[in-house]
Amino acid sequence: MRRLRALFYGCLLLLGVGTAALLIFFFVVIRELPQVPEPLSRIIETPPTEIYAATGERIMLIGGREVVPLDRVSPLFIQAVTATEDHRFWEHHGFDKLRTVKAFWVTLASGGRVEGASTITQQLAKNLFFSFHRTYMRKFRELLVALQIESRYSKREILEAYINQIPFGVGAHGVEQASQVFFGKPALQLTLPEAALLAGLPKSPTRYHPFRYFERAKERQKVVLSRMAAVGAITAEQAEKAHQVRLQLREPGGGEPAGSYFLDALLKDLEERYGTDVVHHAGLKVFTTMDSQLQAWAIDAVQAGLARLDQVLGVPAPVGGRTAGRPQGALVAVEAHSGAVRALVGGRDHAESEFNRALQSNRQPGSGFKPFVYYAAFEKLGMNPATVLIDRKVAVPIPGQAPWIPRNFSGEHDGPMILKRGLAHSVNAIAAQLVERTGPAAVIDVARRCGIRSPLAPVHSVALGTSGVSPLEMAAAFATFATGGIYHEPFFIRRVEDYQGRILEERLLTGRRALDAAITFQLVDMMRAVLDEGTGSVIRQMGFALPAAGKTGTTDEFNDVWFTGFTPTLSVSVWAGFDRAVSMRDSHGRGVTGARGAAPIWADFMRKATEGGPQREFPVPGNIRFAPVNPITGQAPLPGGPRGMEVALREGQSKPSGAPGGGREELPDGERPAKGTAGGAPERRPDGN
Amino acid sequence: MDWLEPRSPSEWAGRAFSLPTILLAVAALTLLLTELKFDWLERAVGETLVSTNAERPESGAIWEKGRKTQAARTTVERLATDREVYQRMARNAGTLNEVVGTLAPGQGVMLSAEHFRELYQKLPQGFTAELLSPFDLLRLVSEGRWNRTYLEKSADGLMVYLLEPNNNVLRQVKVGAASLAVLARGSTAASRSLEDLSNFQNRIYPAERFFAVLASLPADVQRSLIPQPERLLEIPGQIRRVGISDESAAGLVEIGFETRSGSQQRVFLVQAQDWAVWRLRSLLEGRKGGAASTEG
Repeated sequence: MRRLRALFYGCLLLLGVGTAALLIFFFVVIRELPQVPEPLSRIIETPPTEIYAATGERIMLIGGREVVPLDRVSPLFIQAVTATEDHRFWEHHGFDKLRTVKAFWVTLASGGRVEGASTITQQLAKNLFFSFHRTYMRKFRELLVALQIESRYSKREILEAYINQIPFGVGAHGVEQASQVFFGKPALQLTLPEAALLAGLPKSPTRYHPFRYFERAKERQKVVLSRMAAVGAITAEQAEKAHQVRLQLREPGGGEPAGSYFLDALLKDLEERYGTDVVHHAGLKVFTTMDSQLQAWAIDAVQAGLARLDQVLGVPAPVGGRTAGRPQGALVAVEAHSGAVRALVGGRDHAESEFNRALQSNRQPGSGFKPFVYYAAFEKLGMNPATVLIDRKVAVPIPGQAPWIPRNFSGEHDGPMILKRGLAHSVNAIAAQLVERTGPAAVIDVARRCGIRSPLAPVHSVALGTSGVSPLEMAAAFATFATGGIYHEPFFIRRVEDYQGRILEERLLTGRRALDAAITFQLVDMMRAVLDEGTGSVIRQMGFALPAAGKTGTTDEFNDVWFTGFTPTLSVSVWAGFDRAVSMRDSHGRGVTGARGAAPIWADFMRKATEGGPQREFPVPGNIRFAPVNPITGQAPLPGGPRGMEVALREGQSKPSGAPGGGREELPDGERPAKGTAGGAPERRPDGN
Repeated sequence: MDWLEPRSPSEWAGRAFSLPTILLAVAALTLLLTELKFDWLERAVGETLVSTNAERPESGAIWEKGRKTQAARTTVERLATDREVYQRMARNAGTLNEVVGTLAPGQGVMLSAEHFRELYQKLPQGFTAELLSPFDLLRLVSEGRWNRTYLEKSADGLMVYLLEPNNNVLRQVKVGAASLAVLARGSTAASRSLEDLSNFQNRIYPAERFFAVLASLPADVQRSLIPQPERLLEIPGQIRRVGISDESAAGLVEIGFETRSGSQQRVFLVQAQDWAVWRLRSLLEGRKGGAASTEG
């Protein structure tokens, strides 16, 4: 009896002390609780930074939300999310006691597995104010804020705030954005299977990522549907039927803006100028240089070209949409007369790999670098397109090292030829002789004037593109040729305004003369021959007929393939290759060249980009005249013989005489064209290197 | 009243089932059931928290985001306001020198083509030649594409961009720092005497001799030396001495006119074209056997 009495009093004391402690604890804790904003909608009112294409359409929102009122969301989604997350949402006051007791019991009984019982209001409180560290104190504080939210706001306001801020994965916050990303439709139009799939994602957006783990997402959808049936929102038959429906998910990456690589580059640029916080929170309006149509065509061209390359290389089909182990590609299109970047693709699929190969990947351009060599030779040595050099084995002595012995792509040598032919057919031995005479510094100087910023090793092999550059650099550098020698810095942003429409900055479209106009025209004329009869002739075979010039590039071991070319208005560089230095060879062991791997992508893109536009010729400077020459001797063709090759000569550069084989200082004694070839060039198969 | 301890189980049971105990139990059960039904405890806590909301800290992710938004807007506001201030000052400026004076290195302002033309007309003759020839300007005006002009100050001068409506640069001209300094000095020297100006100390002439030589020159040379002689007439007092600068900038050489009005002495500067100055100097120095006078 005495013990019973002691127990009774003990309990009574404990109850009193416990109650007092709880009250003190409560009042201490609430002092540190975060203030809840008024009104609650303020949490989703951050103004987004809006990004616009040059063609006028909005292409991206940063930092804001696609906010939708509750009545613009499919009721099926509302039912699905409440059934799954908090089926007594409309009844409780922010705290589901029965579910908490049940969860407590399950947690105790299961020995380690923690059963969650957070209501939608508690989840909202957690997302708005608290970290994601699991502690009892955080849970308690979260509960208190949830109770306040319930006391202050209506259920509809709470639910609206909740569905507009929950994360669904792949950067989608809120149901409207998620609906667009996964199904390409507004949240109001979600069907039962779609609504159930989406409602299952917030539990673990990564684990149930529908693009990557579709089966898991379907399993989760089944759970949601069964919960809906269990609470009476739908019947079991409807649930089963909905689960059987084949979902039409949008293409992976389809929810991303068309120019995601472009936008990455743009954001980097913006953040460097204004800082991350301003870009993400200040509600800027950014008007870019991107042409949405060109961007879409660029993506199509790269993806189609890489699919063809997969076939050529015999690369197995992707597993689960993953592109690892498959070749990648990049394309940059720059407006020649301004430097505006009109389209930029930095890889096969932005959703799979955000590494921007158009900007960040410095790959060897191979023969794509030769135009800088030829320009240096023209400028420094006074050579011209009709100058004759001999395609022969070359050994360039390097002080203190073994001589540099470049090989021709074909492994053969064709003897004398004019420089125009040497560039058109990308003869390494000719380029090597030129750099031997100009020195690598002169070549690097020309490249620098054309905007190449990447480190360039001052070695002779720089002539054959052994220093890495980016496709953006190449496109901008070749645009210098397209404009007759005026370099324009490439740029992504035309104008930036603040949220009130006041201009913060606007781009002046200015260039600087980097190259001599006449020499540049000579080079452009030679680069036209690359397309018309040289290594890039696949471009013409694919039906691109407008005036254009360019250069193929292929590195040793076929690790990188390039084609950079331009019309008078647009300069486009295409690269393809594996991210790791892996040789690209077909099933017969033949290497893939720039003509085979990159030029078709260029042609595919340019055909669409120039369709319906006027035919523009490269303007001919006043001091340029044209003359036909024998491509071997550099002399005027014989009367009655084949027409020869037309070259562009500057004023003061000697007009070729009619004497066969005579007169060019580069042709040493004993070196004469083969008999019977004086009137025209021997057939040479474009090898596309 | 003393509380008496029950002595037996039956007494315990009797008390447990007594009316007060039952009433107490019913009250407790009612509280529990009403809580389950009406959530009064949650509501009470919620209402308490609502009442203390304003006193609590603005902490947590959503407030942090709000602060970032505020800071970002403040930054942008400052950028926009600065730009507006420069634009307003530039719009109100009467001379190119005033526009340049409002700018710090790295900053720029946009002017309308008309405004720039007004400023251009007020530039010293000769300075316009360095900036842009009037004939070039006429051609640009007649083409109708020149819409705006952007002036950007840098550490080593001023860049002037003549723009068409789409911001394509029609012409760009750089004005060097030395030329800007000449422009900035304008027509009034801070010094009160020609001797105070180091560039002038080698060539100071009595006014009567200077004007006598000037009068002997052809009219076009006179105009190239003193483009607006009427402005000299506006200067109060008497011109006593004239100095010629040793330095040439942007094809211009400064000529200083020292005046005295009562007890006040001042120096006025005029930008003359260098070729005309060489001609004047040859005459001035020839009469003196090649030596410049420093006599008053």
